[in-house]
Amino acid sequence: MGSPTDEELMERFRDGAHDAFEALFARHSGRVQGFLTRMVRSAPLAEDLLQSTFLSVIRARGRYEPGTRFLPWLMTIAANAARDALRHQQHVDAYASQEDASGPASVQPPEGDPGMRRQLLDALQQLHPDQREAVVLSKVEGWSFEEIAALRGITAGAARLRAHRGYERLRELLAPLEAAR
Amino acid sequence: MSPPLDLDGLLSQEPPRDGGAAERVLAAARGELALRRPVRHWRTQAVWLMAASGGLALVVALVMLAVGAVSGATLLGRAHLLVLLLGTSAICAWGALSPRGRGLRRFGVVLAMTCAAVLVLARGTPHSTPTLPGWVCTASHVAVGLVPLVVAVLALRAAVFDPLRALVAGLAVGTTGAFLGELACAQDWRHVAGHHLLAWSIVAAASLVISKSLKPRSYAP
Repeated sequence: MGSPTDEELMERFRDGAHDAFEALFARHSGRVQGFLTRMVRSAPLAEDLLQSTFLSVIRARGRYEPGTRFLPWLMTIAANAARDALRHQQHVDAYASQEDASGPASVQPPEGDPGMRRQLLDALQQLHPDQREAVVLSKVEGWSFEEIAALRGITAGAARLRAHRGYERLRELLAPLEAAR
Repeated sequence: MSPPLDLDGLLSQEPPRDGGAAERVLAAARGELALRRPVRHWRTQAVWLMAASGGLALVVALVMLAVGAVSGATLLGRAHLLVLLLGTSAICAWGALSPRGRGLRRFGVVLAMTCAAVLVLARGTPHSTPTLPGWVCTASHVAVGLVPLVVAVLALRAAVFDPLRALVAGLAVGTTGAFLGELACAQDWRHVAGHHLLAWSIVAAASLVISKSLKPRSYAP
């Protein structure tokens, strides 16, 4: 007998089986953590959001509809948590920028692969949160534009545009790295 | 010349992972599970909101009928409007709390606006001069919506904040006051448009503002 699907585990969890939640956590926490790190950059904030995501799964298990694909549902929760945190951070940044008028740090040349990855994460933070979300969901998580559109209540064309603009902006931001290689 | 930057490859590289973070989050999740809070199904919450809004409206109607504040003939004469209000309340409550009810939420807004227009257009010429100032209607409509508003706000906290969801929940709550207005007020259409619909708008706006200001219990859709 094969291992149960995510959806079967979630339905078991809804019915009270706590071990099913632990199995889902073991399967997907790494992926969610990767997504959140790309979205917010800060490791402590990503940890907070990982916690918010899985606490949301527990508290809102009564909102999970049988037949819904579990992983997109989980990533939707993570994306919502990240969006809320980024909105809050924007308020904090706007307040801080009144005292410190210097702009965001420019992308520096890489120091090997870990440095390159760090620069990518920094560059991702310079994208608008909508574009960042669209780039990460489409390029990393493999979501279709229709799925991103459904998540945000926009058209598939608008989702494609967000991802395209974000990707092009990312290329611009990382151009100095290319020149320095 | 160096090869072009492989952006897709770079994007798909896993960021450094903190194994301790996953352990800490799992410990927090186990703590939450240990509380053994009951599972709240969204359909149950929607029924609670319908009961709080539509049920309260029906209770008010029965009490008014029992004490003679409204006659059976008046109730029957306005039955079509009352049924329209109850239907709007039910659809808005269901749409507001459904995880996938985006279409239903839009329909709820259109239905509530249609309902508001019908309430104004169906109002005839009053046969007596009003004895109370118009704001009494506005205040009483808002007051009668307070309990359903609390139920709506608590139910909305189970999901991520969505302005349309909060607005539609507020529209469901506002039908209670509008229902009361159909039973207890005999003033003309200007009064309905200016005072009854103002109360409905205040309740809908309150639902939106309060929901936005509260931290949700979950970020689920």
